[in-house]
Amino acid sequence: MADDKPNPPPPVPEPTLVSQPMWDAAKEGKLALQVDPASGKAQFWPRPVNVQTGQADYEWREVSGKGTLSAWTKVHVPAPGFADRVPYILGAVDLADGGRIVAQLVNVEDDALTPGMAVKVGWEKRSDDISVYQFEPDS
Amino acid sequence: MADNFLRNKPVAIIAYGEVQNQRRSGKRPYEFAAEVMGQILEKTGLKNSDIDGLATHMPTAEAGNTFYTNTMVDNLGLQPSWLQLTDIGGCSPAGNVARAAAAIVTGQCEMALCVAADSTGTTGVGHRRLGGYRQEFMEPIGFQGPPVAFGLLSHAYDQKYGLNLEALGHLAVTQRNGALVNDNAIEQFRKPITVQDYMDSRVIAEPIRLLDCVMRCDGGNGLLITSTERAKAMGLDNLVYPTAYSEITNFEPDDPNPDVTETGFATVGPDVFAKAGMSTDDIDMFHPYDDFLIAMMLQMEQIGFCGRGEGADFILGTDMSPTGSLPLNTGGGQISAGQPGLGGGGVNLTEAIRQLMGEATGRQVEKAKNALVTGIGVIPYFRNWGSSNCLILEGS
Repeated sequence: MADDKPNPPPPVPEPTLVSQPMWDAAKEGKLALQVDPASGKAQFWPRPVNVQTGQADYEWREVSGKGTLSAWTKVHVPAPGFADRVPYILGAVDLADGGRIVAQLVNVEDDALTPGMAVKVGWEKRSDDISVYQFEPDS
Repeated sequence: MADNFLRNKPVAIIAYGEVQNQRRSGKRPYEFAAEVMGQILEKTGLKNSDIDGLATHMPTAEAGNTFYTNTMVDNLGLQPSWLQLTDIGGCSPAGNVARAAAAIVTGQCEMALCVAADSTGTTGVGHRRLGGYRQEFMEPIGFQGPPVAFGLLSHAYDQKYGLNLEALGHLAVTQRNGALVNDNAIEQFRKPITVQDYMDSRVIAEPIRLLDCVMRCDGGNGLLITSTERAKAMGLDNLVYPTAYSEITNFEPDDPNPDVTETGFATVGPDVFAKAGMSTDDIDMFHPYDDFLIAMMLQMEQIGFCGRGEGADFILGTDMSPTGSLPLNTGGGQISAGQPGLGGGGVNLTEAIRQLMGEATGRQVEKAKNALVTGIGVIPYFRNWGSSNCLILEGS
């Protein structure tokens, strides 16, 4: 019976050659992004080019992991691997260093969230090599 | 003798790029395409923003990725007005030269990148791990798909303009009424609903409710198109003419923090009207792409039927039934007639053609001379929709 099966764990991201530096930094608890050296604009998710130029002339830079919350949604119907967490909150975070990440918001209830509130990155260990970013209030 | 549109040399190849063939690189087709583009940009001194067309083929390494070309342009930071995915095997690269030439001659784009890339040595042919952002950056955080994307978008809209659930419920009821008289609507939706039913439907990802969402199903649709001269020669007189078209993909790719309440319709809406020499007042029927109710409201605002943030008032103040001033998706739309997978974009197109041919039994819009049909393609990583297009059809 399907009902007897334990819920599967959340998926573990598989790095690509392009994204590997981000996951290497994540393993050390640090957030690294691709940055356009000319404008200082960061981009997320990692791409094979700097979208400002179309060339691979981006630089990997460690960023603060601080940002502000712009929009969020409380999810009641879970994605595969997330049945144990419902309801859970996903939020869009505009990073202080530029770029935007969508991630799970933790250590906060949705009625305590406000637009523009300060958040900071944290890490959830999924495997020996992979830690996934999440955000929480930066109080 | 058949006309040869290339006879007078209307186009020329100005540069090429090539990477070394490798046995097993660990790379994906996107990375090879990026290297080829980089070589060409280096040679010509052009920027990626100078490229406004892309032709490619479906590589084995990405087979099963039904959003391949969209993911490709997102990877390359392009904003093309012309995209071509060609799947004629080994003929594809040469075939794309002809396709790009035709697109350029007809003004669909000015400078097209034709790129062929694969990594079958790395992936084999039977894998299901795709490049891009979905498997690596969305699924691992519990991003359960379009309802989450539209939950976030709805919240962004709510903060900026205020979200009016009653207006959205009104759209749901209007479309459901169409499905009731559409024999091609999916059977389980052929029962009436009320605004309260919409409000009470199960919450998926706040504020998205079940009745906000499209439901995938099986089905199909299509059309036959030929030259007007040929159609007239065949003695046909009930014709539908595509008279203006506008399309855009990867809206504002260089903005890492875009306003998600803005979409490509802000570009293609005004553009299609400029091409047609028309305005929103001239449109007799509106057949917008509807994966979520709020998508239709955003299109009304950005195409120009009303101002930003005025969608709810416009919906509540406009009769969108077949006898009203702006009939909307008269067969139920995808939300109430069903979305036959990636063929879903044809549901509302087919209904518009049916109307203009005067064959929409039970819901016929009298005296409708034209229709505006739209499409939305791909919900990307919390950016604006991938592709947006607008097509104006006129009856005979």
